Amino acid sequence: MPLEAAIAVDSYPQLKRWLEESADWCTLLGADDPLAAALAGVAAKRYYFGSEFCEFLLPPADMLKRALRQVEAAGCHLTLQTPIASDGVIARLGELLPLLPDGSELIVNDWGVAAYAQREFPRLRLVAGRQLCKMIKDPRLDSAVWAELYPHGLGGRSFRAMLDRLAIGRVELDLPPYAKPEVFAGLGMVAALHAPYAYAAKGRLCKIGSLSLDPRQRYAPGRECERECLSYEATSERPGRATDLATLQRGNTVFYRHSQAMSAAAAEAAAQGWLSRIVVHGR
Amino acid sequence: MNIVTPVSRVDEVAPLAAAGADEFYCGILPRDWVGSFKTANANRRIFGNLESYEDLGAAIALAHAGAGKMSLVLNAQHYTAEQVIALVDIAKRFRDLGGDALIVGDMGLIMALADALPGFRLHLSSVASCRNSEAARLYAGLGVRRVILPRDVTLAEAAAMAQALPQLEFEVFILNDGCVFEEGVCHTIHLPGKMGGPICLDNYENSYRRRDGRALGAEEQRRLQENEAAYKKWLWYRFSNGFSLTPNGLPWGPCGLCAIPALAAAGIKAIKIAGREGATERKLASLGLVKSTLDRAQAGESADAVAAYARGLRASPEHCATGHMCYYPEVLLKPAGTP
Repeated sequence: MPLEAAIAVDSYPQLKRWLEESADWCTLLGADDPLAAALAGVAAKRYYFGSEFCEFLLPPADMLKRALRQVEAAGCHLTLQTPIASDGVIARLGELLPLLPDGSELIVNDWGVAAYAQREFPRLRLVAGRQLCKMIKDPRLDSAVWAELYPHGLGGRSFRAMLDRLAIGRVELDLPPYAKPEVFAGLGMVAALHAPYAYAAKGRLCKIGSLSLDPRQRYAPGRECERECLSYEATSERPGRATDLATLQRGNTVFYRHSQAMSAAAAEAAAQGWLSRIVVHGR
Repeated sequence: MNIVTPVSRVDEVAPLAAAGADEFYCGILPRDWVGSFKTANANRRIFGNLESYEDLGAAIALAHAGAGKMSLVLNAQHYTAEQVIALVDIAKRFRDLGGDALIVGDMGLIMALADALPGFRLHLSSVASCRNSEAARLYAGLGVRRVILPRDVTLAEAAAMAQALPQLEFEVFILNDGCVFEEGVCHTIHLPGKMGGPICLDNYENSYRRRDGRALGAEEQRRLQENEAAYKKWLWYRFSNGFSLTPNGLPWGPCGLCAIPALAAAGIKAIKIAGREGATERKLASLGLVKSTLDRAQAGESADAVAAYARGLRASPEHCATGHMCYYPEVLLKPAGTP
């Protein structure tokens, strides 16, 4: 199966930009990144839209309609990303999901969203998002020993049984620190890998999303923000910790950037056929 | 509403039962677990575990002697297939010792327990990040009888779920031990202190930039710096006012005592005191705060009177007034006398 490429965006202007420009994997991933070499000659035919991490970044219905039109006009496909949800967010999904064409991919990061979508919209193709596919991903680990102590359980029979029960046919994964290619072997599922950033931790409370709030309303759940995360991000560094992976805070989530060695492991896993798609983050 | 209290030693059970705990939860780290898996991840906490099945049996017996219930946490965020097999064995031994419920977060383990121990009481851990009725219904179909909601839900969200699913019990956090990130989707390790400790308390320095590549303006920089400073202050509150006690020896926050009347009205079955790894004195003091507030609510005092009592317990109204010690700050922000 040939390796696919997709571009993940978190806003409509980003989507328009990447539909108009052809993606240069060396620019997005780094000129020396082994995954850029693995994707050489592969064009992005799929765009990830919406948000895995925040209920306030789900697009309004009219924006989703426009995005779908733009993607279709470009001869491409749209995958809608969804976050962990409250009942209110699921009600909003009830307005968005009918807009998706038959066979569209829907990334679910919440078992409740998965159950809801499977029951109400069986024509959609469900994908288990990164938050359902748990593994240790701490950018501060100073040796591979830590990673070996906490292997993931994604190949387990009972986890797979739940995916089957909910008709989830694909999984979305991150590249853990010190990953070897074999971390993706034996999953028995079609898997996509996000690059060049993995997420390490995600909150509901949001520091940057509190920027414009009254002091007593800050850092509390359910407070609607002004989407400051679309304007600002932060590089996070621990003084004197040279072995840390480059760390980024965007919105309510901490990300780390793959090392060259990690990307090489991912490229090898792709070559082995253990990864079918690379989801590159648009900037 | 039941008060759910942590224990980490057998000798904590009787005094906590005498002080009004209705339910207990504990962890166990069997000696052969570390030998088999080279790590201490049988549950979410490395420390604060009972050390043997003998201790577990004794703790269960003491809980029952006080008419209480004992739950066992098997609540790491994820397990390997081999660990799931070992955990099912632990679960069976717990059941055979007379234990009452298992607290579980990993979907694979829940599926395995549903198969191996049909009908045994399962409580869904907050680690499962169950924040909606659809997810709760799915878990109920697997044998889950109680959902422990994650920390950062609103009262309205908790009430909506309890109303939608009256066949399920719901439990919420009421006191102690804040997380910054959602427990179920924080994939980091509480590292040893010399390596940085929990990531949310680590010594990170943040450098902001605009994502469109333009330079930050002076006013933007000022606002970002002000927010960063305010966040650090909030973090201090989030972690028990710098991991301290009040002058009268009580734990600080996070705290939901003011919300007890609203939680009761919403049909919440149980309120959870966090802090398995804490000292016995802290557990007893925490239970005292919760029990005395709950007693007033159950005696029919008005919500405002209960809230006023709760806010007076620590004799530090200036800290309460920030709202940063609150699990449910919406109670504090609501005008007095409104429902």
